[in-house]
Amino acid sequence: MPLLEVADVSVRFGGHMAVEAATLSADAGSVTGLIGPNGAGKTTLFNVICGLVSPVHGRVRFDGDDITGTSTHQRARRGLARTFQRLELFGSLTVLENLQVAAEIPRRERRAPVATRVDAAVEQCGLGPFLHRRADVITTGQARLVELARALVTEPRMLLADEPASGLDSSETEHFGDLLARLAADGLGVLLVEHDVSLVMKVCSRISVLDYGKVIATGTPAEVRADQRVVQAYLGVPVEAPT
Amino acid sequence: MTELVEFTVLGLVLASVYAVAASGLVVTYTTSGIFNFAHGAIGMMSTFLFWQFTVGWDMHWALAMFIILVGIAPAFGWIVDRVIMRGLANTSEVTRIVVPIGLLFALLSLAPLIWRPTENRLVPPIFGRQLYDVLGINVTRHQLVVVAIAVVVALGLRFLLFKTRSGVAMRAVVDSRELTQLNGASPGRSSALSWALGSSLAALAGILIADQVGLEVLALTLLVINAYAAAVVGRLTSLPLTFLGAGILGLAQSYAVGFMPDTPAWLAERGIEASGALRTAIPVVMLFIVLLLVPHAPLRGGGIQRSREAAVRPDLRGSLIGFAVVIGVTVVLSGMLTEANLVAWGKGFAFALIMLSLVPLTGYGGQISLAQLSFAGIGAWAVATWGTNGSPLGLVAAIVAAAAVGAVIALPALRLRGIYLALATLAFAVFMERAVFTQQAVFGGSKPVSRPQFGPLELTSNRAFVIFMAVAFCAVGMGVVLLRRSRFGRRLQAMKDSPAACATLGMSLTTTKLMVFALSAAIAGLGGALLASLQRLASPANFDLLHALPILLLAVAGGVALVSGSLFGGFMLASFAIVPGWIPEGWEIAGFNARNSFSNLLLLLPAVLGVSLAHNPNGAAHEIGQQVRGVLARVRGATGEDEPDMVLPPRNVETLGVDRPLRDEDIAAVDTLLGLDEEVIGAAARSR
Ligand SMILES: Nc1ncnc2c1ncn2[C@@H]1O[C@H](COP(=O)(O)OP(=O)(O)OP(=O)(O)O)[C@@H](O)[C@H]1O
Ligand SMILES: [Mg+2]
Repeated sequence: MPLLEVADVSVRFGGHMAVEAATLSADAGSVTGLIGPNGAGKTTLFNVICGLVSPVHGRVRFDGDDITGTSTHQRARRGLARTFQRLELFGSLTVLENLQVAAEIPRRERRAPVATRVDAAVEQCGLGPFLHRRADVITTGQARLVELARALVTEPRMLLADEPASGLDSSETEHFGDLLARLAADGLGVLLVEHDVSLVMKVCSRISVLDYGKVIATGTPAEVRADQRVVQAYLGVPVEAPT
Repeated sequence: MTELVEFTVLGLVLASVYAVAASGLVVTYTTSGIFNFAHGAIGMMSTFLFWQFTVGWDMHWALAMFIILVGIAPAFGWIVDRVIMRGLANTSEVTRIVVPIGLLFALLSLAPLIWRPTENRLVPPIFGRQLYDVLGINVTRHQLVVVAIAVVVALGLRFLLFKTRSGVAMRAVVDSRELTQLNGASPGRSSALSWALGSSLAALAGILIADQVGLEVLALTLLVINAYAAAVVGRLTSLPLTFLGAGILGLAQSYAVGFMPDTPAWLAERGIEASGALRTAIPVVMLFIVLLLVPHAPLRGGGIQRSREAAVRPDLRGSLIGFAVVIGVTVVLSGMLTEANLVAWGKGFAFALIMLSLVPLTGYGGQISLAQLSFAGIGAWAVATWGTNGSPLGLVAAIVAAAAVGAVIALPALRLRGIYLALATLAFAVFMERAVFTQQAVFGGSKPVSRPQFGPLELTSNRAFVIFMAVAFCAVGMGVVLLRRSRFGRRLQAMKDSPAACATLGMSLTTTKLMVFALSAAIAGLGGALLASLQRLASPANFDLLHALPILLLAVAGGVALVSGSLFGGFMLASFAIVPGWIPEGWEIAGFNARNSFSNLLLLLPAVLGVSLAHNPNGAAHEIGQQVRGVLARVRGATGEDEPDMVLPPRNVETLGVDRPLRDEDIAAVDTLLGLDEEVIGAAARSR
């Protein structure tokens, strides 16, 4: 059974359907890609999964439980974490404090002490050089790493990463890809939204493609790359609705 | 039956005035994004002007109305937008709420300076008292015309917003500032236009209702504040719904006058006057209820807030030294001051404590409350009730009672944010003032208070009590400093910076808000209790809206994230009672009593400070601290040393008009554009 299941989800903003009957799933221990052109509805779908936006239709299941009606922080306490495309760091706190706040939020289950979890995440994401800077003065690339680390200190089971590599240079991106792969190998489920196609192709075991709010293809990287509708969606050629 | 018709007609007339006032509020808010708390005060000033023109200078009413509605009021609105509100870009929500409140308070303090409140003024119904028969009851021509004007305003606004270029541009600004700019229209111009229009509508509402409420500064201002409820029915954006809200409010108030049963005897015997209280409180009760029905605003990520406000982490050693100095100065000075000035000194600590309650709530947590003085009032009541014979339990009761009410009031307000939270707390404050504190059973006019006694420690002399207050302030202040460095303090700061991120990390915003509201109410309650103990009297006069406004203004102007800011604000407020005393009694300047005029002038100071926040959002204490640090650095011969809380220039996504996270190239481009020094930000922003 997949760890995260999105079933038949639709989101409406006024008269505009941002997501339409989207169905996808993500497993623990692997990176699942979610790609699509600008405005396809990827971020909106993330917002639905973590409870920041209510769908007009459809369900979200986590570890077999229906979590559609639960609040955002309850979902987080089940082990769902995310990063934001438009950075949401705590700008008036230092990088270290950003991680501490996240690590200190109480959970029912027993976890390692705050300091241990924070140190581990600092180490993993390489935050050492700017650990004591205020979070609103670091570069975008650094901020992306801090958001990742902040999500990791909560010890999530599923991580939703929204364009984590935008703002990173190519060597940083490569580094980042390795990190995600390592986390997945340790058992974390990752749902990755990313425009850097080579990164997606490299680290994802499965990919879903979203276009105009609809899932138009799902499969292995090779299958998706060969899919005509995907190519058309990216080239901007209008496609017939799949039957 | 005729009674019903009669009160319906009266209700509709009132509703028409509310509709005119509320629609002005909505037009300004939707276009400029700023809720004009001074709306009522602008209406009040205009009405006084109208009196001056027509009664004072014998001008024809039509000419006077023309000059005010087409000339003075819109010009005032335009200037306010250009000079004050424009400076609010990139400031926090709190600043954007406090600055208009500063304007409100400025007008409230200015009006009695120009028009002495001792004089009796009447504005006759402009359109005459000639009676007409409508559905079997008598209606004056004035009343008929008022309703007609509301209809004309509704149609006029509809036409303006949908059919004229300026109106369409104003609506477009609401949707997207950047897009409007791209289309060649100027959002700045639209916003100024909306302030002009809004002010004109406020003036019209004031002039139309003046014959009913009379020319009284506070009454006229509050009357338009009633219209907030109508505007919130329209969620501050929809004009048709706003008119509907005005209708409901007008009718409800009128029917309450006509048909609400008198207070039942068993309540009246216990000194509770329920029905009169309810009647006067209907608009705020409606405001509160409507706010609770406003649909959940979704938590939406808006990127990192690069606001102009610096968040300072208080330094422990500095705070300790500061508190020691405060206590030391109090001990020495209290031996030299006169009794009256000693009491004023003590009041400074009481006000400072009440302002201190805003530090965790607003300074750290980013929540806004206009009800802190009401919590102080609850504290005063509790200490008067349970602190008899010097029992220290009175202070405990004050803290507990205020915290409990704070939590209860926070409960429904938890889902509200920003302006809606401000309005809900305002509704609560006005409700307490109008319907609770006035009750015979609560303060009964005023209640004697005995000072607390701790075992052998006697605090009966003013000097002892003021020193006790200094210690109490410093103890709580130290607690607030430590709080910022604690887990809970980090949590509050995080909630202020990004509620969305907090929630996705598993933080319950509800619990966090509930806790900080209770904590902050407890501090305010202690402040109120100490104020009452100092004066040996608990009186509702200390806790009304007119006193609540400078508390908020000075707390934010002093620096709402700093303990020193509240001390600065508290003593400034207390000094207003001392300084005018230096002017000899009986002096007259241009026929005005010098001492009275000067105390009124002083009251303008909080307003000016509040308004100036638009230009210096960090508050005075922060500014002074920076200056002192600068001087110290120069004395030490160090130049340009690492400034711990250096404020970076705003790099808001909106200001750049890019709809994606900023890249380093963008930042570099802006830096070049602004000619910023490589040294200053290069190291911070481009360490790669
Ligand atoms: N709060 C909102 N209100 C109205 N429309 C919205 C809102 N959020 C998103 N949209 C619209 O929904 C659509 C999907 O947006 P979304 O941000 O989910 O796309 P995306 O796939 O993440 O795009 P990108 O690759 O640019 O990040 C877009 O057309 C967007 O304009
Ligand atoms: Mg997106």
